[in-house]
Amino acid sequence: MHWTEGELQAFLDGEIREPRSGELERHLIVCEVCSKRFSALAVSLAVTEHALDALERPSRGLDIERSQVSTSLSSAPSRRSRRSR
Amino acid sequence: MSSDSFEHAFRIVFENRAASLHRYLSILSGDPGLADDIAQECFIRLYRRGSMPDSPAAWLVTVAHNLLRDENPRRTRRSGELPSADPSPDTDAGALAAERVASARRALALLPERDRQLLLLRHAGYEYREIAQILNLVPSGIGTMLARAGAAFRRIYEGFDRALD
Repeated sequence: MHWTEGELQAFLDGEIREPRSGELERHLIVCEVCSKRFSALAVSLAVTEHALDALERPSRGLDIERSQVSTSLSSAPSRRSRRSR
Repeated sequence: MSSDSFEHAFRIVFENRAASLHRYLSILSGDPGLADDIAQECFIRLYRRGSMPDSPAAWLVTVAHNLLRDENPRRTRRSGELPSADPSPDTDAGALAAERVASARRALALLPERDRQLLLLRHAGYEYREIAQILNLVPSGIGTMLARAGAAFRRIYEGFDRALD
């Protein structure tokens, strides 16, 4: 029996817990079909995450106080609505 | 929920979720300043709500999608793809690195919207059950959809990347 593509992906993404993750790891050692599929998924994941890392830009920083102050002064416009004027 | 316990819950959600929400929005919008503003607005709305939704992470992203949808049509109609705020090659990374960033952005823009959201939500650190709630999908199908979205992204991106070599 082979593991599905979705299960292999979920394992790569850390979504499969013990004891199933242990079963899957042991299966990959002995099953060439699943091992090949798993390798292809791992490469796709690495390529995707590397590319997306390059697109990230830092935040100026969100401010928890601003969220709360905006409520206590409910008539005050948020930063976003001020920005769009 | 008392006012004090809501304040406490709000602080925990902010501390645990603000960074991932910004991470997701900054790539989705291509504009880190806009991502800051929308993420901040989401938390303002959560605070004004005065009670915690069942899944705060999913609620915040759903509100962010609505805000981004209001903000984006003019920009996306004009550019025909995801908006870009990438630095110019001569002031930041080299020209090749800048081209690879552009390739990644173009590859993302060529994916169906759902595939793009799936990849970006995972990249930002959302769990499968949260992704399923946000995108109205069955949790058991997320792995398969991510596998296919990842393969599609890789195919397109590596095609652009080979053209650079």
